[in-house]
Amino acid sequence: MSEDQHDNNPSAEAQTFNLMEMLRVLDPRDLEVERSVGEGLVVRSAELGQLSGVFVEPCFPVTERGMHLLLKDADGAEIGMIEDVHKLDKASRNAVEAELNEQHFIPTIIRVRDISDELHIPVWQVDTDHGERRLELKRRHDVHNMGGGRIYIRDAAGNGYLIPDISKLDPASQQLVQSNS
Amino acid sequence: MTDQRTQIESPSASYVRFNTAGDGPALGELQQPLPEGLGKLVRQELGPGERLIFSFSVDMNIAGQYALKWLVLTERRCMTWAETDDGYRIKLEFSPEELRDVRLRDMRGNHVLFVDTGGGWKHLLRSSNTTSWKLRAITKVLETVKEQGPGALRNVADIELKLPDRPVCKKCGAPIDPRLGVCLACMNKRTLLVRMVKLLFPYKALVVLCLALMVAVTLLGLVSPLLSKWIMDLVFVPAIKGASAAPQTSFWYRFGGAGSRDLLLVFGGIMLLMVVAPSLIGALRGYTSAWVGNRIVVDLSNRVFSHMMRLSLSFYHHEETGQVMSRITRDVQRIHMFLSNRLFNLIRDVLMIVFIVALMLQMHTKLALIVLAPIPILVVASEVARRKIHRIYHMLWRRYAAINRFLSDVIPGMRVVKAFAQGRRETGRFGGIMDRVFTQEMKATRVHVTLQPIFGLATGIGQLLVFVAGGLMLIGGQGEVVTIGLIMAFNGLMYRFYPPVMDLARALPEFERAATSADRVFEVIDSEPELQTGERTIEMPPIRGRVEFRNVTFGYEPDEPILKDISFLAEAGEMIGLVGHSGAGKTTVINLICHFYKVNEGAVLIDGIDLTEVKLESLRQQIGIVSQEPFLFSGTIAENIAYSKADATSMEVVAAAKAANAHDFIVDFPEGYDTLVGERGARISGGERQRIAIARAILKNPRILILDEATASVDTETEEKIQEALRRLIAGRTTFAIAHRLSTLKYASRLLVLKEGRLVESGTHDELTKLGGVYAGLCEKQNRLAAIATWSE
Repeated sequence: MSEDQHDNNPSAEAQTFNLMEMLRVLDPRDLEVERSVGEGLVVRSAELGQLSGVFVEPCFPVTERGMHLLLKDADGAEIGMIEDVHKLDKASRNAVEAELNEQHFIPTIIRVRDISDELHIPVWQVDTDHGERRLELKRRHDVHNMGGGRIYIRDAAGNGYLIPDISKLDPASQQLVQSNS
Repeated sequence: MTDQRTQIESPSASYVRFNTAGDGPALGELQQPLPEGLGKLVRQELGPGERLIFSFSVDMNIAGQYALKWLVLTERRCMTWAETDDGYRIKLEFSPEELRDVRLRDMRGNHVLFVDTGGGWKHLLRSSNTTSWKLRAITKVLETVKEQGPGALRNVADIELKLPDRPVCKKCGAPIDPRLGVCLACMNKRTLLVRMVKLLFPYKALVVLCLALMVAVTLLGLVSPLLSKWIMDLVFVPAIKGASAAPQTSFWYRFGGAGSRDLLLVFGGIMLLMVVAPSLIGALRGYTSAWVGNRIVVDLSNRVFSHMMRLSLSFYHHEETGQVMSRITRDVQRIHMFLSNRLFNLIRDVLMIVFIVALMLQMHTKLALIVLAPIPILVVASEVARRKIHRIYHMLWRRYAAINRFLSDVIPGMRVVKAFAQGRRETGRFGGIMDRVFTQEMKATRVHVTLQPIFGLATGIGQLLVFVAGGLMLIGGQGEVVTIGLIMAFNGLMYRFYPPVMDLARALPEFERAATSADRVFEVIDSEPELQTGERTIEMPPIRGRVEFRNVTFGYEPDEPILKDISFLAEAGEMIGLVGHSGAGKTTVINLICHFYKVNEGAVLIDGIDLTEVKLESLRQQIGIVSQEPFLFSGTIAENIAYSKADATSMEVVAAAKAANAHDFIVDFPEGYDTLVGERGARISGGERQRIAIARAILKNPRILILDEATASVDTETEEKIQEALRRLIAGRTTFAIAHRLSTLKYASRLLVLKEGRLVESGTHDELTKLGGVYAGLCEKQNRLAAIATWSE
């Protein structure tokens, strides 16, 4: 994180502010996190002391789920950022991931059974990692190609669903998705 | 200097001649030789040893009548001569010593040049826009004379004249219409065909395969008329009339006797093959040629697009740009059609005709000649009919285009239509358009229905001739033997003969169209991007931020200067506010700092380097712009922020958004930084867009920052957030800011006040307020407006 973006422009560094100072990145070795069911997370660190009622929010929920997680207190004020959840110790990581799964729920689609068009409403029958689901979309454009085979779908109610890599789906599902996005 | 001019005798008078090929100014068109009659008069006027420097004419006299008016400049005086009914009259004459002042006034549709030679302003010349550039040039000369004294006339070649660069044809030198972009006189269709065909070269092997397959199909197509001849003569006729009616010898008797069942089966087998094989081979050929054709479209489109990316903004300044673009797309399509379809068909048609004619002549020369005789007449007749139909269909096509035009006008404007309750009227207008379509459609149908029988006759007459002429020969039995089989074969061949002939007749206009298209596309590919023409050799070093305008004059159209003789200097790290009424030239100043356009006169320098010498990319990489209506590309918010720095890490993106006060609203979206914006994405408010654009600029870390009405369309609270973000962004960078709301410029270290393209005031807010000039007036107006706004709340 220490790479300074002004490096390639030496004349600039003296005058302009350091961009990275805008971020407060927490040291993963200093963090100890556990869940307190219904009340978010409890965070202990030498830097911050003990904080409870902490919530977690991903900056990039669709493209980098476990990365750049914001920790916020109960009032929504930002405490800091966890750059990579994998750098936490195992227990803390489990706690953060479990909390994240609750606070920012985006199931993964693992199989597409059928896509039909009912009176111009696209209807998807899918299997997700959280079970079977019928999605009703507002319009066909709600299937977003995020690049690199990643597909993000938002249904009419605003629920998000993710296909992390379309090429990893079975051929029948791929065929269905490709002809409907 | 002396080597650059030599005294020569010209037909009418002696000129000081400038060596335009050398490094002196290209007086070029400005130096027009005097016509015979005037030349004589002028020569009489000249004193001993007095030489002409140059003479030229403008297209108007002082009264505004269109008539040639001449200006003659010698080393000792300047004269104007008007053309009147009874010859030339000298109108005004003065010596350089007398010249006190000169003034060019640009007015609507015409320009007037005044001089003061003692005793007030006098008209010198008047001109329409067409020749106004000449007025500009002579103004420059006279101004130099005024400043440096009459001696300057001896060194006219040293005066830098701005003569217009108009696109001219590289080959013939004639001016060309910039919208057409092609010199029609020089368009060489043959070389174009060669160049188009060259596009096929990378796919040589496939093209050869296509041609081979085509020849095969063509030849196979000719076998079935022959087969019918053989079946008739060797099987059917002997079967009915006995073996004696069959020819004595034939290649086919080795498979079975005349009239035998075996022979019939052999022919049947061959016939089956003839039905199946051509369609298989044809499919293969169709696939291959389509592949090659589409490949060429991709190659060509990529080349055109990458070239367009490098073209100067002034190319996009004109309204016709959209048309140009779509025409180029269509041009590429046409070349594709020509190469993948028409060209192959052309070859196939020619082959087909040659084979058929050869075969007919070989089978029965006399009959062949009779049967083929009416073909040329029929081709001409059908071509005439086709043109008539074409005209009618063209009208029809335009009527259909009117529907689209109407719809694309009304549907986006639906809010207005509804707001003014004009639905009924629009419905009526649409009905009218549809009625016209119906009328034209029926007209086309009537012509079609009338011409149908004529076309029928055209194809039928050949067969008629085969049966009648062939039948007569069969009955007469004289000369070469005509059999029933032969007549059958001729009939089949005639049937195959017409389509290629008709196709060929159509091919010529299509080739013409493809050639015009190709010329335009090649022209785009060949043309040098305008701003690249100079020797741009300097890689812009990291900018410290000293920006200087030196006597800059610039207009988007050469005759309408927007900025007039602007000079200022901005030191590194200063924030300069540009103030003035709409149209005063604020945005133009900014366009010139970014070097989107070249200045007409003067120079823009950054850190002392003239922008015309630096490589554009190295310059623009260091300039950041936040504009009034920031453009977001379709993609995620993160991608939009990172647009200015392709290798930005996610951390940098988030940090930049925080610095721009955009982070909080971004993470409030359900998809955070992954939220899609643009046409298919979330709706993002003006203030939010603004902050995303600021984040983009922060991430770029530009050395020069441009804020073009960055806070124009947001409410006060949002403006505060944006102001805070801007303060972070401005720190340590040379910044140019345009704002209508003068309060936005309170952090500016200096304000430049523009009025009608001139720099009228400059200084800090306090200094300018005290001055009581243009800026003070603007401030007062805004304060009064603000007071009204507060009062009415």
